[in-house]
Amino acid sequence: MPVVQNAVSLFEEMVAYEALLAQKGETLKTISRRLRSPGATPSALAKTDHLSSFLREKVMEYLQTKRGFSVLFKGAFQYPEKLQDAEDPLAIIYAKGDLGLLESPSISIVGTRKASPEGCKRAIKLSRELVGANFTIVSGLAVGIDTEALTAAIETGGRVIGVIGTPIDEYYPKENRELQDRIARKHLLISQVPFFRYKNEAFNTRRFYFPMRNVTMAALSFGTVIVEASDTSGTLTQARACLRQGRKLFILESCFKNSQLAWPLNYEKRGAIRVRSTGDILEHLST
Amino acid sequence: MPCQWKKLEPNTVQHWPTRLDPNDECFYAREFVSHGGYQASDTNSLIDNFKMKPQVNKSRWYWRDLAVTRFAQELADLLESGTCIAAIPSSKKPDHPEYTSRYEDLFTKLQKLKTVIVETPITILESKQSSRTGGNRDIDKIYKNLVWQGFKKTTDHVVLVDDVITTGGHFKACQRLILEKCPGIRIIGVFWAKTIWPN
Repeated sequence: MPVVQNAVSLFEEMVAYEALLAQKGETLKTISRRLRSPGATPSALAKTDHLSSFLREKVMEYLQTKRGFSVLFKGAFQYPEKLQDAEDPLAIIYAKGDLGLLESPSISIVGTRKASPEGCKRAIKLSRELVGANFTIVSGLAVGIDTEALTAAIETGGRVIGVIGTPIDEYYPKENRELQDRIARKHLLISQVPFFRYKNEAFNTRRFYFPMRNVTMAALSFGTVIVEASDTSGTLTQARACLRQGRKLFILESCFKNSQLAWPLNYEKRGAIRVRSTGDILEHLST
Repeated sequence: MPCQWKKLEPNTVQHWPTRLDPNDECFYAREFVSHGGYQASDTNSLIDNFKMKPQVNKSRWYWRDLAVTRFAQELADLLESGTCIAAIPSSKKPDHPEYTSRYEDLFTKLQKLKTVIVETPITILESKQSSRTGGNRDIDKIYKNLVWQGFKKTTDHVVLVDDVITTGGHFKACQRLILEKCPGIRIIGVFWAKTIWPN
Protein backbone atom coordinates (compact mmCIF):
# COMPACT_ATOMS: atom_id res chain seq x y z
CA MET A 1 0.00 0.00 0.00
CA PRO A 2 1.41 3.45 -0.88
CA VAL A 3 1.98 5.45 2.29
CA VAL A 4 3.42 8.71 0.95
CA GLN A 5 2.31 10.55 -2.17
CA ASN A 6 4.12 13.84 -2.41
CA ALA A 7 7.79 13.15 -1.86
CA VAL A 8 10.81 13.45 -4.11
CA SER A 9 14.11 11.59 -4.20
CA LEU A 10 16.57 14.45 -4.56
CA PHE A 11 19.31 12.03 -5.59
CA GLU A 12 17.17 10.63 -8.39
CA GLU A 13 16.36 14.16 -9.56
CA MET A 14 19.99 15.22 -9.27
CA VAL A 15 21.11 12.27 -11.40
CA ALA A 16 18.43 12.98 -14.02
CA TYR A 17 19.26 16.70 -14.05
CA GLU A 18 22.98 16.16 -14.45
CA ALA A 19 22.43 13.46 -17.07
CA LEU A 20 20.18 15.83 -19.04
CA LEU A 21 22.90 18.48 -18.84
CA ALA A 22 25.46 15.97 -20.11
CA GLN A 23 23.59 15.75 -23.42
CA LYS A 24 24.98 17.61 -26.40
CA GLY A 25 23.40 21.02 -26.93
CA GLU A 26 21.82 21.25 -23.48
CA THR A 27 22.74 24.04 -21.07
CA LEU A 28 21.46 25.22 -17.68
CA LYS A 29 19.30 27.67 -19.65
CA THR A 30 17.74 25.11 -22.02
CA ILE A 31 17.00 22.70 -19.20
CA SER A 32 15.54 25.46 -17.00
CA ARG A 33 13.24 26.46 -19.86
CA ARG A 34 12.11 22.89 -20.41
CA LEU A 35 11.35 22.63 -16.69
CA ARG A 36 9.20 25.74 -16.64
CA SER A 37 5.84 24.05 -17.03
CA PRO A 38 4.14 23.18 -13.73
CA GLY A 39 4.95 19.72 -12.50
CA ALA A 40 7.85 19.18 -14.94
CA THR A 41 10.77 17.46 -13.22
CA PRO A 42 14.24 16.36 -14.37
CA SER A 43 13.30 12.69 -13.90
CA ALA A 44 10.20 13.10 -16.08
CA LEU A 45 12.25 14.92 -18.76
CA ALA A 46 14.89 12.21 -18.65
CA LYS A 47 12.18 9.64 -19.45
CA THR A 48 10.88 11.73 -22.37
CA ASP A 49 14.41 12.11 -23.72
CA HIS A 50 15.02 8.35 -23.47
CA LEU A 51 18.40 8.99 -21.87
CA SER A 52 20.74 6.07 -22.25
CA SER A 53 21.05 3.91 -19.17
CA PHE A 54 24.83 3.94 -19.74
CA LEU A 55 24.91 7.75 -19.30
CA ARG A 56 22.64 7.64 -16.25
CA GLU A 57 24.80 4.99 -14.63
CA LYS A 58 27.98 6.96 -15.30
CA VAL A 59 26.42 10.09 -13.80
CA MET A 60 25.09 8.16 -10.81
CA GLU A 61 28.44 6.55 -10.18
CA TYR A 62 30.15 9.95 -10.19
CA LEU A 63 27.53 11.64 -8.01
CA GLN A 64 27.73 8.81 -5.45
CA THR A 65 31.18 10.18 -4.61
CA LYS A 66 29.76 13.62 -3.76
CA ARG A 67 28.50 14.31 -0.23
CA GLY A 68 28.13 16.98 2.41
CA PHE A 69 25.79 19.52 0.81
CA SER A 70 22.09 20.30 0.70
CA VAL A 71 20.18 20.09 -2.56
CA LEU A 72 17.67 22.88 -3.11
CA PHE A 73 15.06 21.57 -5.53
CA LYS A 74 12.46 23.70 -7.28
CA GLY A 75 9.10 22.49 -6.00
CA ALA A 76 10.36 21.14 -2.67
CA PHE A 77 10.35 22.85 0.73
CA GLN A 78 12.88 25.62 1.28
CA TYR A 79 13.69 26.33 -2.38
CA PRO A 80 14.15 30.12 -2.21
CA GLU A 81 11.09 31.71 -3.76
CA LYS A 82 13.12 34.74 -4.82
CA LEU A 83 15.10 32.59 -7.25
CA GLN A 84 11.92 32.16 -9.26
CA ASP A 85 12.45 35.77 -10.39
CA ALA A 86 15.53 34.76 -12.36
CA GLU A 87 14.94 34.65 -16.11
CA ASP A 88 15.57 30.91 -16.13
CA PRO A 89 15.04 29.64 -12.56
CA LEU A 90 17.39 26.80 -11.74
CA ALA A 91 15.86 23.41 -10.96
CA ILE A 92 18.68 22.37 -8.64
CA ILE A 93 21.12 24.36 -6.51
CA TYR A 94 23.76 22.98 -4.17
CA ALA A 95 24.32 24.63 -0.77
CA LYS A 96 26.51 24.25 2.31
CA GLY A 97 25.95 26.00 5.63
CA ASP A 98 23.13 27.97 7.16
CA LEU A 99 20.13 27.69 4.82
CA GLY A 100 18.28 30.12 7.08
CA LEU A 101 20.31 32.89 5.47
CA LEU A 102 18.31 32.42 2.28
CA GLU A 103 15.40 34.04 4.09
CA SER A 104 17.38 37.00 5.43
CA PRO A 105 17.35 40.45 3.77
CA SER A 106 20.41 40.51 1.56
CA ILE A 107 22.37 42.83 -0.74
CA SER A 108 25.01 41.94 -3.30
CA ILE A 109 28.25 43.87 -3.34
CA VAL A 110 30.15 43.14 -6.53
CA GLY A 111 32.87 44.55 -8.72
CA THR A 112 36.05 44.01 -10.61
CA ARG A 113 38.78 41.50 -9.83
CA LYS A 114 41.38 44.19 -10.63
CA ALA A 115 40.21 46.56 -7.94
CA SER A 116 41.95 49.86 -7.17
CA PRO A 117 42.97 50.56 -3.56
CA GLU A 118 40.15 53.14 -3.36
CA GLY A 119 37.67 50.59 -4.73
CA CYS A 120 38.71 48.09 -2.05
CA LYS A 121 38.28 50.71 0.67
CA ARG A 122 34.83 51.59 -0.64
CA ALA A 123 33.80 47.91 -0.72
CA ILE A 124 34.95 47.43 2.89
CA LYS A 125 33.15 50.54 4.17
CA LEU A 126 29.96 49.70 2.31
CA SER A 127 29.99 46.11 3.51
CA ARG A 128 30.47 47.12 7.16
CA GLU A 129 27.71 49.70 6.98
CA LEU A 130 25.23 47.34 5.32
CA VAL A 131 26.00 44.69 7.95
CA GLY A 132 25.29 47.42 10.54
CA ALA A 133 21.88 47.87 8.90
CA ASN A 134 21.31 44.09 9.36
CA PHE A 135 21.76 43.01 5.78
CA THR A 136 23.34 39.73 4.72
CA ILE A 137 26.10 40.40 2.19
CA VAL A 138 26.05 38.36 -1.02
CA SER A 139 29.09 38.18 -3.25
CA GLY A 140 30.99 35.97 -5.63
CA LEU A 141 34.27 34.96 -3.95
CA ALA A 142 36.37 36.34 -6.81
CA VAL A 143 39.49 38.26 -5.87
CA GLY A 144 39.15 42.03 -5.65
CA ILE A 145 35.87 43.67 -4.65
CA ASP A 146 34.04 40.39 -3.88
CA THR A 147 36.69 39.18 -1.46
CA GLU A 148 36.98 42.57 0.24
CA ALA A 149 33.21 42.83 0.73
CA LEU A 150 32.82 39.29 2.11
CA THR A 151 35.85 39.50 4.40
CA ALA A 152 34.82 42.88 5.81
CA ALA A 153 31.29 41.60 6.50
CA ILE A 154 32.58 38.51 8.32
CA GLU A 155 35.09 40.50 10.36
CA THR A 156 32.34 42.91 11.40
CA GLY A 157 30.30 39.99 12.72
CA GLY A 158 27.88 40.01 9.80
CA ARG A 159 26.37 37.18 7.77
CA VAL A 160 27.36 36.38 4.20
CA ILE A 161 26.31 34.24 1.25
CA GLY A 162 29.09 33.27 -1.15
CA VAL A 163 28.02 32.20 -4.63
CA ILE A 164 30.69 30.35 -6.59
CA GLY A 165 31.25 29.55 -10.25
CA THR A 166 32.65 26.05 -9.68
CA PRO A 167 31.03 22.90 -8.26
CA ILE A 168 30.46 23.26 -4.53
CA ASP A 169 33.41 21.04 -3.64
CA GLU A 170 35.96 22.91 -5.77
CA TYR A 171 37.83 26.17 -5.23
CA TYR A 172 38.49 29.08 -7.52
CA PRO A 173 40.56 31.12 -6.99
CA LYS A 174 42.65 28.78 -4.85
CA GLU A 175 43.81 31.61 -2.59
CA ASN A 176 40.24 31.97 -1.33
CA ARG A 177 40.06 28.36 -0.17
CA GLU A 178 40.11 29.30 3.51
CA LEU A 179 37.49 32.01 3.03
CA GLN A 180 35.26 29.61 1.06
CA ASP A 181 35.54 26.93 3.76
CA ARG A 182 34.74 29.47 6.45
CA ILE A 183 31.65 30.61 4.55
CA ALA A 184 30.52 26.99 4.02
CA ARG A 185 30.88 26.26 7.74
CA LYS A 186 29.56 29.38 9.40
CA HIS A 187 27.59 31.22 6.70
CA LEU A 188 26.18 29.94 3.40
CA LEU A 189 27.90 28.78 0.23
CA ILE A 190 25.93 28.26 -2.97
CA SER A 191 26.74 26.72 -6.34
CA GLN A 192 24.61 26.07 -9.36
CA VAL A 193 27.40 24.33 -11.26
CA PRO A 194 26.61 20.70 -12.18
CA PHE A 195 29.31 18.28 -11.01
CA PHE A 196 29.35 15.78 -13.86
CA ARG A 197 29.16 18.24 -16.73
CA TYR A 198 31.88 20.41 -15.18
CA LYS A 199 34.17 17.43 -14.82
CA ASN A 200 33.84 16.59 -18.50
CA GLU A 201 33.86 20.14 -19.82
CA ALA A 202 36.66 21.94 -21.66
CA PHE A 203 38.51 24.44 -19.49
CA ASN A 204 37.59 27.40 -21.71
CA THR A 205 33.83 26.82 -21.42
CA ARG A 206 33.92 26.50 -17.63
CA ARG A 207 34.42 30.26 -17.36
CA PHE A 208 30.81 30.83 -18.45
CA TYR A 209 29.63 29.64 -15.03
CA PHE A 210 30.99 32.84 -13.49
CA PRO A 211 28.62 35.29 -15.21
CA MET A 212 25.79 32.74 -14.69
CA ARG A 213 26.33 32.88 -10.94
CA ASN A 214 25.95 36.68 -11.13
CA VAL A 215 22.38 36.13 -12.36
CA THR A 216 21.71 33.95 -9.31
CA MET A 217 23.24 36.55 -6.98
CA ALA A 218 20.98 39.22 -8.47
CA ALA A 219 17.91 37.06 -7.81
CA LEU A 220 18.99 36.23 -4.25
CA SER A 221 19.39 39.88 -3.27
CA PHE A 222 17.04 42.80 -2.68
CA GLY A 223 19.52 44.87 -4.64
CA THR A 224 23.03 44.93 -6.05
CA VAL A 225 25.72 47.54 -5.50
CA ILE A 226 28.46 47.84 -8.10
CA VAL A 227 31.56 49.29 -6.51
CA GLU A 228 33.97 49.34 -9.43
CA ALA A 229 33.89 47.73 -12.90
CA SER A 230 35.25 48.15 -16.40
CA ASP A 231 33.09 48.32 -19.52
CA THR A 232 33.81 44.66 -20.23
CA SER A 233 33.51 43.39 -16.66
CA GLY A 234 31.50 40.25 -15.90
CA THR A 235 29.92 42.31 -13.11
CA LEU A 236 27.73 43.92 -15.76
CA THR A 237 25.97 40.58 -16.24
CA GLN A 238 24.61 41.11 -12.74
CA ALA A 239 23.61 44.68 -13.63
CA ARG A 240 21.57 43.43 -16.58
CA ALA A 241 20.03 40.60 -14.55
CA CYS A 242 19.10 43.01 -11.77
CA LEU A 243 17.14 45.26 -14.07
CA ARG A 244 15.46 42.33 -15.83
CA GLN A 245 14.47 40.74 -12.49
CA GLY A 246 13.08 43.98 -11.06
CA ARG A 247 15.80 44.24 -8.41
CA LYS A 248 17.37 47.56 -7.44
CA LEU A 249 20.71 48.30 -9.03
CA PHE A 250 22.98 50.79 -7.26
CA ILE A 251 26.10 52.27 -8.81
CA LEU A 252 28.59 54.12 -6.64
CA GLU A 253 29.13 57.76 -7.59
CA SER A 254 32.85 57.11 -8.01
CA CYS A 255 32.12 54.92 -11.06
CA PHE A 256 30.62 57.94 -12.84
CA LYS A 257 33.74 60.02 -12.24
CA ASN A 258 35.79 57.87 -14.60
CA SER A 259 35.04 59.58 -17.91
CA GLN A 260 36.43 56.62 -19.87
CA LEU A 261 33.60 54.36 -18.68
CA ALA A 262 30.36 54.24 -20.67
CA TRP A 263 28.43 51.67 -18.59
CA PRO A 264 27.53 53.79 -15.51
CA LEU A 265 25.55 56.37 -17.51
CA ASN A 266 24.16 53.71 -19.76
CA TYR A 267 22.74 51.75 -16.79
CA GLU A 268 21.56 54.90 -15.03
CA LYS A 269 19.45 55.67 -18.10
CA ARG A 270 17.97 52.16 -17.86
CA GLY A 271 16.95 52.54 -14.23
CA ALA A 272 20.03 52.09 -12.05
CA ILE A 273 20.36 54.36 -9.03
CA ARG A 274 23.44 56.51 -8.52
CA VAL A 275 24.43 56.50 -4.84
CA ARG A 276 26.90 58.57 -2.85
CA SER A 277 26.61 56.80 0.50
CA THR A 278 25.21 53.73 2.22
CA GLY A 279 22.47 56.03 3.52
CA ASP A 280 21.31 56.58 -0.09
CA ILE A 281 21.06 52.80 -0.59
CA LEU A 282 19.10 52.26 2.62
CA GLU A 283 16.75 55.09 1.75
CA HIS A 284 15.98 53.56 -1.65
CA LEU A 285 15.53 50.09 -0.19
CA SER A 286 13.00 51.36 2.32
CA THR A 287 10.76 52.80 -0.41
CA MET B 1 0.70 22.86 -5.87
CA PRO B 2 1.96 21.90 -2.38
CA CYS B 3 5.69 21.81 -1.68
CA GLN B 4 7.24 18.37 -1.90
CA TRP B 5 8.71 16.39 1.00
CA LYS B 6 12.13 14.86 0.47
CA LYS B 7 13.45 11.35 0.86
CA LEU B 8 16.28 11.25 3.42
CA GLU B 9 19.32 10.13 1.41
CA PRO B 10 23.04 10.27 2.32
CA ASN B 11 24.09 12.11 -0.85
CA THR B 12 21.67 15.01 -0.66
CA VAL B 13 22.02 16.25 2.91
CA GLN B 14 24.79 18.25 4.57
CA HIS B 15 24.71 16.14 7.72
CA TRP B 16 23.48 12.58 7.67
CA PRO B 17 21.70 11.51 10.91
CA THR B 18 24.49 9.25 12.18
CA ARG B 19 22.28 6.56 13.76
CA LEU B 20 20.23 5.98 10.61
CA ASP B 21 20.88 3.20 8.16
CA PRO B 22 20.94 4.46 4.53
CA ASN B 23 18.22 1.89 3.76
CA ASP B 24 15.82 3.28 6.38
CA GLU B 25 12.75 4.68 4.68
CA CYS B 26 12.57 8.25 5.96
CA PHE B 27 11.23 11.57 4.69
CA TYR B 28 11.66 15.21 5.77
CA ALA B 29 10.32 18.56 4.67
CA ARG B 30 12.60 21.24 6.06
CA GLU B 31 16.03 21.94 7.54
CA PHE B 32 16.33 23.14 11.13
CA VAL B 33 19.39 25.23 12.04
CA SER B 34 20.85 23.84 15.27
CA HIS B 35 21.40 26.51 17.95
CA GLY B 36 20.04 29.09 15.51
CA GLY B 37 17.13 30.10 17.73
CA TYR B 38 13.65 30.91 16.43
CA GLN B 39 14.98 33.82 14.37
CA ALA B 40 17.32 31.66 12.24
CA SER B 41 14.62 30.76 9.72
CA ASP B 42 10.87 30.26 9.29
CA THR B 43 11.45 26.57 9.95
CA ASN B 44 13.25 27.25 13.24
CA SER B 45 10.42 29.51 14.27
CA LEU B 46 7.80 26.85 13.39
CA ILE B 47 9.67 24.13 15.31
CA ASP B 48 10.17 26.35 18.36
CA ASN B 49 6.50 27.22 18.41
CA PHE B 50 5.45 23.60 17.93
CA LYS B 51 7.54 22.59 20.95
CA MET B 52 6.25 25.45 23.13
CA LYS B 53 6.20 24.49 26.81
CA PRO B 54 2.95 24.68 28.82
CA GLN B 55 4.49 27.28 31.15
CA VAL B 56 4.79 29.81 28.32
CA ASN B 57 2.38 32.74 28.56
CA LYS B 58 -0.95 31.76 27.00
CA SER B 59 -0.89 34.83 24.76
CA ARG B 60 1.87 33.10 22.77
CA TRP B 61 -0.13 29.92 22.23
CA TYR B 62 -1.64 31.44 19.13
CA TRP B 63 1.75 30.80 17.46
CA ARG B 64 1.81 27.26 18.74
CA ASP B 65 -1.62 26.62 17.20
CA LEU B 66 -0.42 28.05 13.90
CA ALA B 67 2.59 25.74 13.93
CA VAL B 68 0.41 22.70 14.73
CA THR B 69 -1.98 23.61 11.90
CA ARG B 70 0.89 24.06 9.44
CA PHE B 71 2.48 20.73 10.39
CA ALA B 72 -0.90 19.00 10.04
CA GLN B 73 -1.46 20.54 6.60
CA GLU B 74 1.98 19.54 5.36
CA LEU B 75 1.59 16.00 6.71
CA ALA B 76 -1.79 15.76 5.00
CA ASP B 77 -0.09 16.67 1.72
CA LEU B 78 2.40 13.84 2.22
CA LEU B 79 0.39 10.93 3.56
CA GLU B 80 -2.01 8.71 1.65
CA SER B 81 -5.47 8.06 3.10
CA GLY B 82 -5.63 4.97 5.28
CA THR B 83 -2.05 5.35 6.52
CA CYS B 84 -1.33 4.19 10.06
CA ILE B 85 0.64 6.81 12.02
CA ALA B 86 2.18 7.05 15.49
CA ALA B 87 4.26 9.68 17.27
CA ILE B 88 7.78 8.89 18.33
CA PRO B 89 7.27 9.36 22.09
CA SER B 90 8.57 12.67 23.40
CA SER B 91 10.89 12.82 26.41
CA LYS B 92 8.18 13.66 28.99
CA LYS B 93 5.34 11.52 30.38
CA PRO B 94 1.83 13.06 30.55
CA ASP B 95 2.19 13.63 34.31
CA HIS B 96 5.35 15.74 33.86
CA PRO B 97 4.89 19.55 34.16
CA GLU B 98 6.70 20.07 30.85
CA TYR B 99 4.58 17.56 28.93
CA THR B 100 2.67 19.06 25.99
CA SER B 101 -0.10 17.46 24.03
CA ARG B 102 1.38 18.64 20.72
CA TYR B 103 1.13 15.28 18.97
CA GLU B 104 -2.45 14.67 20.14
CA ASP B 105 -3.33 18.15 18.84
CA LEU B 106 -1.42 17.55 15.62
CA PHE B 107 -3.12 14.24 14.90
CA THR B 108 -6.56 15.63 15.74
CA LYS B 109 -6.03 18.37 13.16
CA LEU B 110 -4.53 15.93 10.67
CA GLN B 111 -7.54 13.62 10.95
CA LYS B 112 -9.79 16.51 9.91
CA LEU B 113 -7.74 16.82 6.71
CA LYS B 114 -6.95 13.19 5.94
CA THR B 115 -8.32 9.80 6.91
CA VAL B 116 -5.40 8.36 8.83
CA ILE B 117 -5.32 5.74 11.58
CA VAL B 118 -3.64 7.03 14.74
CA GLU B 119 -1.98 4.49 17.01
CA THR B 120 0.10 4.73 20.20
CA PRO B 121 2.16 1.53 20.05
CA ILE B 122 4.95 2.90 22.27
CA THR B 123 5.09 5.04 25.41
CA ILE B 124 7.97 5.81 27.76
CA LEU B 125 8.78 4.40 31.20
CA GLU B 126 10.03 7.62 32.75
CA SER B 127 10.51 11.26 31.77
CA LYS B 128 14.00 12.21 30.61
CA GLN B 129 15.86 15.33 29.66
CA SER B 130 15.06 16.13 26.02
CA SER B 131 17.86 15.28 23.61
CA ARG B 132 17.69 18.82 22.29
CA THR B 133 18.88 20.09 25.66
CA GLY B 134 21.59 17.47 26.12
CA GLY B 135 19.55 14.33 26.80
CA ASN B 136 20.52 10.87 25.63
CA ARG B 137 20.80 9.93 21.96
CA ASP B 138 22.15 6.42 22.62
CA ILE B 139 19.85 3.86 20.97
CA ASP B 140 20.21 1.22 23.73
CA LYS B 141 19.42 3.67 26.50
CA ILE B 142 16.45 5.14 24.63
CA TYR B 143 15.22 1.60 23.83
CA LYS B 144 15.33 0.58 27.50
CA ASN B 145 13.01 3.45 28.36
CA LEU B 146 10.35 2.39 25.83
CA VAL B 147 7.17 0.53 26.81
CA TRP B 148 5.29 -1.59 24.28
CA GLN B 149 1.55 -0.87 24.12
CA GLY B 150 0.79 -2.63 20.84
CA PHE B 151 -1.45 -1.75 17.89
CA LYS B 152 -5.22 -1.61 18.34
CA LYS B 153 -5.72 -2.63 14.69
CA THR B 154 -3.68 -5.01 12.61
CA THR B 155 -1.44 -3.14 10.20
CA ASP B 156 1.34 -3.99 7.76
CA HIS B 157 3.02 -0.58 8.14
CA VAL B 158 3.43 2.34 10.50
CA VAL B 159 4.61 5.90 9.91
CA LEU B 160 6.57 7.18 12.90
CA VAL B 161 6.24 10.97 13.14
CA ASP B 162 8.61 13.36 14.88
CA ASP B 163 9.21 17.08 14.59
CA VAL B 164 13.00 17.00 14.17
CA ILE B 165 15.50 14.29 13.30
CA THR B 166 19.05 14.90 14.51
CA THR B 167 20.94 11.61 14.90
CA GLY B 168 17.94 9.31 14.35
CA GLY B 169 18.49 7.57 17.73
CA HIS B 170 14.84 7.79 18.84
CA PHE B 171 13.60 6.49 15.48
CA LYS B 172 16.02 3.56 15.58
CA ALA B 173 15.06 2.62 19.16
CA CYS B 174 11.34 2.63 18.25
CA GLN B 175 12.05 0.73 15.03
CA ARG B 176 13.90 -1.97 17.02
CA LEU B 177 11.03 -2.44 19.47
CA ILE B 178 8.32 -2.49 16.79
CA LEU B 179 10.24 -5.02 14.68
CA GLU B 180 10.73 -7.24 17.72
CA LYS B 181 7.00 -7.21 18.41
CA CYS B 182 5.78 -7.17 14.80
CA PRO B 183 8.46 -8.78 12.57
CA GLY B 184 8.22 -7.80 8.90
CA ILE B 185 6.18 -4.66 9.45
CA ARG B 186 7.12 -1.71 7.20
CA ILE B 187 8.36 1.24 9.27
CA ILE B 188 8.61 4.70 7.75
CA GLY B 189 10.04 7.78 9.49
CA VAL B 190 8.51 11.19 8.77
CA PHE B 191 10.22 14.25 10.22
CA TRP B 192 9.06 17.82 9.80
CA ALA B 193 12.67 18.96 9.81
CA LYS B 194 16.21 17.64 9.72
CA THR B 195 18.94 19.31 11.76
CA ILE B 196 21.87 21.09 10.12
CA TRP B 197 24.84 22.43 12.08
CA PRO B 198 26.48 25.58 10.81
CA ASN B 199 29.23 26.03 13.39
